[in-house]
Amino acid sequence: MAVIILRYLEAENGKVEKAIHITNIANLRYLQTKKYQRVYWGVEFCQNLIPSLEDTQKALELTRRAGMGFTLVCPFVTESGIKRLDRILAWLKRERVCCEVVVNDWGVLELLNTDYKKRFEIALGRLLVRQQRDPAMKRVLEKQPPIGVKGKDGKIHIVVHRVPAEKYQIGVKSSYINSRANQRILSEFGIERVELNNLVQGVDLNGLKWKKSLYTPYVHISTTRFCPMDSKEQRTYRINVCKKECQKYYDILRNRALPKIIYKRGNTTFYKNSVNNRMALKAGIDRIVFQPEIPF
Amino acid sequence: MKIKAPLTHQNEVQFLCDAGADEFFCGIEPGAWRTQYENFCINQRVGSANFSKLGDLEKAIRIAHQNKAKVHVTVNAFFYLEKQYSAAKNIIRDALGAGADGIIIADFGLLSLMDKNLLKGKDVVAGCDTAVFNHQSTAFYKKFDVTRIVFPRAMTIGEMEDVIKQDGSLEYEAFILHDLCFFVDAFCAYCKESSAGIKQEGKEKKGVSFFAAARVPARGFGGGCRSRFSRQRVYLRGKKKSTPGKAFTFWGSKAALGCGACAIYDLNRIGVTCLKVLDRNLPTEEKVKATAFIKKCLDFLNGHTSKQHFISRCQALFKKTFKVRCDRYGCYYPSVFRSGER
Repeated sequence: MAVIILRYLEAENGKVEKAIHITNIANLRYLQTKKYQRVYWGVEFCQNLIPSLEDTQKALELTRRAGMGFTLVCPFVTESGIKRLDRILAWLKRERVCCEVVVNDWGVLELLNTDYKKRFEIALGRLLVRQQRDPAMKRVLEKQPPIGVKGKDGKIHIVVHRVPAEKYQIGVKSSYINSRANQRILSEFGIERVELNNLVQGVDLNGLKWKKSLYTPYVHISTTRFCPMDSKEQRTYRINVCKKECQKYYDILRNRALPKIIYKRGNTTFYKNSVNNRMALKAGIDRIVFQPEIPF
Repeated sequence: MKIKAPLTHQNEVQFLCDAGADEFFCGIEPGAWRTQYENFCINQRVGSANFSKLGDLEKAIRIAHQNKAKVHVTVNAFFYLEKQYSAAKNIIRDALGAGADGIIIADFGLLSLMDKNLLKGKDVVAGCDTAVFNHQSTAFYKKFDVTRIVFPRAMTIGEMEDVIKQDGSLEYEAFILHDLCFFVDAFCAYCKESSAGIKQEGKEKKGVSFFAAARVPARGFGGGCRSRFSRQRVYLRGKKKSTPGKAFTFWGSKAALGCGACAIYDLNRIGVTCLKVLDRNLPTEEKVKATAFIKKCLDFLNGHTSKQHFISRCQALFKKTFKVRCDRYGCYYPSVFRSGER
């Protein structure tokens, strides 16, 4: 069987590769082959929405015809989810498709290192990079004016903000992957790229020798398996009560204490922080991943 | 099955042992760590939830060992800054030297830096922050010589059983009481101390407090799943939007406190070896009450009892112990009540 190598436009010197995140077949309507050089296919946060093998085959065919790069995005998974992913990976291996795989589960990373050794290029997904994603972080680091707060005792208490020490300010821009020990281990497991949130407080990229992708505009905050909690049955049983409500609506959450609006779609919450392409390139980012919809 | 109880002070040990604890988990955060690494915790709790002196920890371990109980020390921050690793290693070395029986970790980078001889014969526990949802993840962590896995909160009995069936060589631990989190610990930006919570610095003087965060300490916002929001729903078809302003919390009308006692019957059947009572921030009497409650539930397992009978007895005991009827809302493992659920 002929080896299928997806030809894609390498990021030219001085230019950032642009990728678009497509989560299902219906969202292929967002694909603009002239604007993007790569397709991210799949979901990050929910195993219930892992695309079928048939849809993956269609997406891959479309990508191949357009001469674009293909990246399979995998969520965190239980035993049932890992079987579904394994089916797709096994097909890609049989068809000798060389592509990237984004992992958001240590078990999937282990699977790629045992059953699919050196078959795919592996990127460490946002769930495993573990950045500090609190949307209020910017206010923590910038000097705020004093405020008066009425306490439970009825008295007014003056609250004065003390800007945290420099170590803390640097630390909240760091993540799991900044430590040399973790870099060594992850490289041994075949990690070649890391997927990053564009945090409101900035990102520390010092010492990161891997290739780096930056997602825009949605920064993921927290993920749950208790989704969506709308009906009594869902509030009681919480897991495996999904009727894919996330495909019908999303929620905008506001609180005066937060400088950012929170978007809640399905089992994950997000805030928006768009990327400045020029600044990203200057910082060493070689790929921007655009998410046309709130991801899931 | 063993009961693992939270520990913050050496004076608690005997009470908790008498209540039925077979193991303890605790943290140690020396003053030097806090001074040097302000607002970066050694584990997932801060301040009074940790021992601050090695001598106190040593005393606690001695009393625990006299009662044939093990002590695990938590060193489970998601990650550490480069400079913190050597300090964290020293803390682990000192804790193990003081007699601790094991450590609880979330950062395998820290584990890889440890002297393997130091960990020989000790329990190396992959905490719930390692997000082990499948057997391939257990295989991943076994490469770091982990001996026990703590299942994340958000798993059904069937999902845990699937993992244990694939790999029975490890010990498995499950949460059983208190502190039911809405989000997956490993994937939450507000997980305990890893977010920049409002931390009051020093005592209030003349009505003035200092906080190391700029979030207004308004009612209803502490970050995370217990916050109150105003919600607006946007429908994807037709792009219809609801009127903003509807009150919303992730938990619904009330936060779930968390009890998994009814699931002990199934947890025992599938091979979970340790039940973890939370949390370290509770007063001693609450920890003792919680531990004693789980011990009595375990005693119900002795003798031939049906699952239904076991559940009835646990629910009756819950009402008697906590003075509140079990309404299944705060259930850790509600899949127990669903027929055909796995």
